[in-house]
Amino acid sequence: MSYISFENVKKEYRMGEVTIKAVDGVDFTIEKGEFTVIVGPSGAGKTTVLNMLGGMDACSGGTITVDGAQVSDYNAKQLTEYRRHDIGFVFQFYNLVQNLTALENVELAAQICRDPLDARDVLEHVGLGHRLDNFPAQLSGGEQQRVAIARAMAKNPKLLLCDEPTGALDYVTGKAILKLLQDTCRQEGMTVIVITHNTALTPMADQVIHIKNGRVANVERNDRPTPVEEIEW
Amino acid sequence: MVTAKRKNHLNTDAIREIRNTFSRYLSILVLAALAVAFLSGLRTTAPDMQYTADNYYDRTHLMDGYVLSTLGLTEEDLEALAGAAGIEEVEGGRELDATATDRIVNVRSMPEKLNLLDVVEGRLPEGVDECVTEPLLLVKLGLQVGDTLELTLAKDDEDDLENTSYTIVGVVESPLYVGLDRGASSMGNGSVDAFVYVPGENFTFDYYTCAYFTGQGLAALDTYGDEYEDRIDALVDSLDPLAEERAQARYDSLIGDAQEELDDARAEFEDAKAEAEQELSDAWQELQDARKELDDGWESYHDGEDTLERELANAQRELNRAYADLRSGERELADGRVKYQDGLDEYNDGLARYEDGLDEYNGGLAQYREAAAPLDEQKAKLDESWAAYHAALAPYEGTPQYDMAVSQMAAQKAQLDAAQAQIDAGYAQLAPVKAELDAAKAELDGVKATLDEARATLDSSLRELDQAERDIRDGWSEYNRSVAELADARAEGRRELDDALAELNDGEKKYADGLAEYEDGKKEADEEIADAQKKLDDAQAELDKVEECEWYVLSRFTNAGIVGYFQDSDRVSNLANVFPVIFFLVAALACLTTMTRMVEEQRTQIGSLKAMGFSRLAISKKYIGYAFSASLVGGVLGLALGCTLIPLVIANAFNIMYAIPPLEFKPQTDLYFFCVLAAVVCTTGAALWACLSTLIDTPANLMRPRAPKAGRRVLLERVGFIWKRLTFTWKVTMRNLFRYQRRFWMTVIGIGGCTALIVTGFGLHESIFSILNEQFDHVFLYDATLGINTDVEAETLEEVDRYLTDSPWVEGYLPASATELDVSSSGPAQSATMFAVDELDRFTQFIQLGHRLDDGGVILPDDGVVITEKLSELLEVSVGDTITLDGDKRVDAVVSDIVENYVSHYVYLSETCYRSLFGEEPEQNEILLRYTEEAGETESDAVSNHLMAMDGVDSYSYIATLRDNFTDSMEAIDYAVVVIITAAAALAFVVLYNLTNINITERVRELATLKVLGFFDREVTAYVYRENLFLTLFGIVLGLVMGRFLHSWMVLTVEVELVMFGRTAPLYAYVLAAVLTVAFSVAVNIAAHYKLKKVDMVESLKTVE
Repeated sequence: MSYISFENVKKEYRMGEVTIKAVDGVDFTIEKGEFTVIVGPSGAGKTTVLNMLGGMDACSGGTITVDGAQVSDYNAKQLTEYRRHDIGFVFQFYNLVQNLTALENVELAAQICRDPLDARDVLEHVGLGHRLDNFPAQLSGGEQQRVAIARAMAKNPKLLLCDEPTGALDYVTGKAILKLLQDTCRQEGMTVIVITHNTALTPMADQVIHIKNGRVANVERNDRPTPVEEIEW
Repeated sequence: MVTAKRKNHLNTDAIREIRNTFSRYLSILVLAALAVAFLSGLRTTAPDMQYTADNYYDRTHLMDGYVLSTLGLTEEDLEALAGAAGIEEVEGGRELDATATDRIVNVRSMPEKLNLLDVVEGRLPEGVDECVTEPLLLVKLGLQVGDTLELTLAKDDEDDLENTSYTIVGVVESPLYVGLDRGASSMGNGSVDAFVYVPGENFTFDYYTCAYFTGQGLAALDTYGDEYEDRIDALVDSLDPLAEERAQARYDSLIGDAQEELDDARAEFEDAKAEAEQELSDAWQELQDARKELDDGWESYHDGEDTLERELANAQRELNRAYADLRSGERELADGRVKYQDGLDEYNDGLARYEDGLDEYNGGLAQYREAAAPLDEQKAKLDESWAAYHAALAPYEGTPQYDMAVSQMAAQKAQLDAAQAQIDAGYAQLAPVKAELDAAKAELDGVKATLDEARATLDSSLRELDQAERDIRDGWSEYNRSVAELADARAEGRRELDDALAELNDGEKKYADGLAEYEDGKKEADEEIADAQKKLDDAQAELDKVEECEWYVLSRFTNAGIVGYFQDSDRVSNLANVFPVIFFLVAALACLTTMTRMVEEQRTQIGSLKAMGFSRLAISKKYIGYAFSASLVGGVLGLALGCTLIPLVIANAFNIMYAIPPLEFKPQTDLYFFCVLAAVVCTTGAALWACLSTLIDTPANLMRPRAPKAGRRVLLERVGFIWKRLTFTWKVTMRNLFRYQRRFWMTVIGIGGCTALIVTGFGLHESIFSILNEQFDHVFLYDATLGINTDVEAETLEEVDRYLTDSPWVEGYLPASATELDVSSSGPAQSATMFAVDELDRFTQFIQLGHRLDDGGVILPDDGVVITEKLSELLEVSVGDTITLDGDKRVDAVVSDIVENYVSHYVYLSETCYRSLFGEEPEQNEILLRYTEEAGETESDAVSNHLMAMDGVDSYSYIATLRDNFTDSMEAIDYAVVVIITAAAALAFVVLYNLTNINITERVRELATLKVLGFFDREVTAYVYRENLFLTLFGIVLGLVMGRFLHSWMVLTVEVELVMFGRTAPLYAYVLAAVLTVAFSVAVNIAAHYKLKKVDMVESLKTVE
């Protein structure tokens, strides 16, 4: 039994008369502690997959299992609980609470968890020990994303979901963020799932899931993932 | 073509924008509609009402002004007035007050040209004995059209009306009587209850009591407008010279004549008086004379009586004496007879002895004569010799030869002498015999004389005795006659006296009659004189009182109804000045925020369009159009609703108090335009401003996600011990509150404004109606008052007393002295009722005297008066100041205390103080009644009917009725208040909803993120709520504070002079305002909760817009 499994997961949006099949039967599995990259062109359905995996959206069909739990059967409340305790989310645009300092942003997430990590430690871990009391507006994009990652990690989630984490960042910063994510995976044993349209990132993952037109095109496994530093795009 | 197509698409976008964000569009529309409705509604109400009134006045040809004269107006006066510059029409009117059953009515002559009547029911009078009146009177008297109205005229002008019985042929409304006030009257309780119009020919006096006039071109003006006021003032002023001239003329003609007449009358009176006095004094003199005569009569009567008695006594005494004399005479006579016999015997003895003696003497004598005879012959010869001697000498006597003769004859002589001596010697020898004889002779003669004497004495004694006997006989007969005479005299005297007494008594009676007659006559004459004098004096006083004829030229604004309607509608206007502005500001702020938010949201799109090369104008058109169309449609809708509904509701309420025809809407294009424009400008301006401030930026910047507004530390963070205790959500809340300051203040002001409006609304309602409770439950503890006629007998009132004591419904009653008077300080005077209080303890069981703000007791000192609060405010006096009381007398008094009171003005003072101020005893002319708990209107009516039937009871007023009337008259303001509360509530809801909406949409991303982070819905909602809660609370606090001041201000704005409204809004107004606001907030938040639930977490993944 894999840590995460998608079995024939479907997602349909009903827009009036038209039914759009955003995801049309996706199957894949992810093991605990793996670094997975889900890659595909725009509109392929990868965000929908992420939404369903992150408990932000329910699936229309199929089964989603995370750590033995049938997430696809969860009701709204259970989904919230699931997001609360099991998922750490990193957004493309960081989505930090502007009114809270870096530390507070992390603590904000930590306060609702059962078993959070120390916010200060996490921030130091992501290299922001000196910017604890800065507001998001006072931080660069990379720094903000680090705060976002720290926020996700502080919850001590089962998996870390990252939606285009480098999308709003420049190359160097993006690389640093990816490095942070990869290190987190390797050092903390965190299951990390990154969604990107950038195929160049695929070598760094343990497993690469290609999604096209709402289906899994193919799944590659890298027995020897390349460290981020060595990847160029 | 290309241009057209492009434009088309932008329009399509704009239209779709509206469709997609319809709730936002609607909220702007509704806000604009509410703001415009409220603003225009309240603003147009007063003009509409005044316009309606103006039309009514114009239609009925309401006078622009009228002239009153202290001496009435003549036909010439009217002509002169009609001829004055600026006067269009003049009509004279006659009126007087009369009583119809128990109501005072103002009877007026039917108008012909001015002040025309509106027939509500029936028709106008045609016959001379027909009348029209108002509905009020019919209700009060229980009459209907077709019934007969009986009028009773006052004594002084009994003859002033031809008919006193009229058939009611119709019910009318008069523009002179638009208000409830029917004016004052000198009759009854002093106020007119209703009007009655009768055909003018019924009035019998020749002068007009009033002249109504209209001014040229004034009808075309708005009666409540400034121009009208200026023109009518000018017209009234311009009539001053005419007024003076006509008044003087009238005075001269009327007073001159009257004075002359009066002087004539006075002269006549003086003559008559003098005559009467003369007559009286004559009569008096006569009476005096009669008295004198009577007194004399009495005196002589008494004298006579005395004399008679005395004389009778004297006579009796004399008779007695005579009787005694007679008796003693008889005794003496008997003695005399005895003595006479003795005397006679003695005489006879004596006589015998004498005769013996005489015989002895005669013997002796004869012896002597024989002896003497020779001597006597010698002697005779000698004497012849002597005669011859003297004869020889005689021829020489006295001659010188005498001596020679004597000497020659000496020898003769010597012979002679010797002869002589011889004879003598003879004689001398005879002498002793002679002497002896003579002595015997003498003795005998003596005896003879004695005897003769005794004889004579005896004879006279006998004679005397006989005489005495005769005398005694005569005496007895005389005595007896005298006794008879005395008896007669006594009887006669008595009879005479009795006659005199009878006569005197008669005279006395006649005198008494005469005196009584005189007294009566005098009294009558005095009375008549005093009467006539008084009449003359009164007439003079009346004439003097008139002093000068005065013309009062008055504008229609002195008519209580017309000016009251103006003031009351102005009060609405005052309300309209502030309320809608606050309202409008709040609504405009909400629109501004909404539009700003909208532009912000579409920042990227704006950037894109700009990048594509669209002009700023083209881009901003969408937003401006959005705002413009929403505000325009909303504004027009609001205008349509507000300008019709609000004036109708308020005017409808006003119809309780004013007889003004149904509301007519005044076209107020300017105002309509202004209201809509204001809404449009505010909203569109906000959109434009938001657009422009965005459009200034470069497309590149616009398309890039806008740097989120920087977080900031707030002041609170510096207070470490609090800050550390806050959870993050609270920290966020705090920071958010201060981060979006504009929205913060917007919300706070919006909510605060609404709260303040609600506080004010409820507060006003309470201020208006709580005073009724305060006044009628706490200040006036009595339930009814009886007006007592002070002229009636004390026993009449005893009946009232008895009834009140016995009535099971009357718990207590107190006779009181109430006087109407004018009170003033430096400014205008106020009417008030003055109570002179005897026993304060008892009085306060009927009228509570206390302070509004503290519980300190009130006393009525002997040197000061207590006045009510509103009165003190109007007069601008406080404790210790002096005020002037102007009743029957004008006096100054010191204010010693100010007491709580809300309706009307009162002055309270102790009786001692009353006496020292007015110098007289207070008159008890009222009785205050307190009913038992169970007694209601039915009982009150029963008591009233019973008492009013008694003599001496002039009036009865039940306080609940007063209270109802008062409630009715306050209803109008209350309606406006209801409108305010409703609108404020609606506004509060819309503003809160809108702001919460904005709050959510503005931070949807943040909220989505929180959701993704695993916050439960309620946690997310709470996250937003905390802010709303805080804003609401803050807004409420601010609103309560604002409300307090707004309310105070508003109370003063709407307050009328006669009434003091509650000055503070009650706690419940605040509580209710807070609760309502919280309730709206909760409702809005519940709605927001569902909106928040719908927030898609996917939003968090979207690019920053």
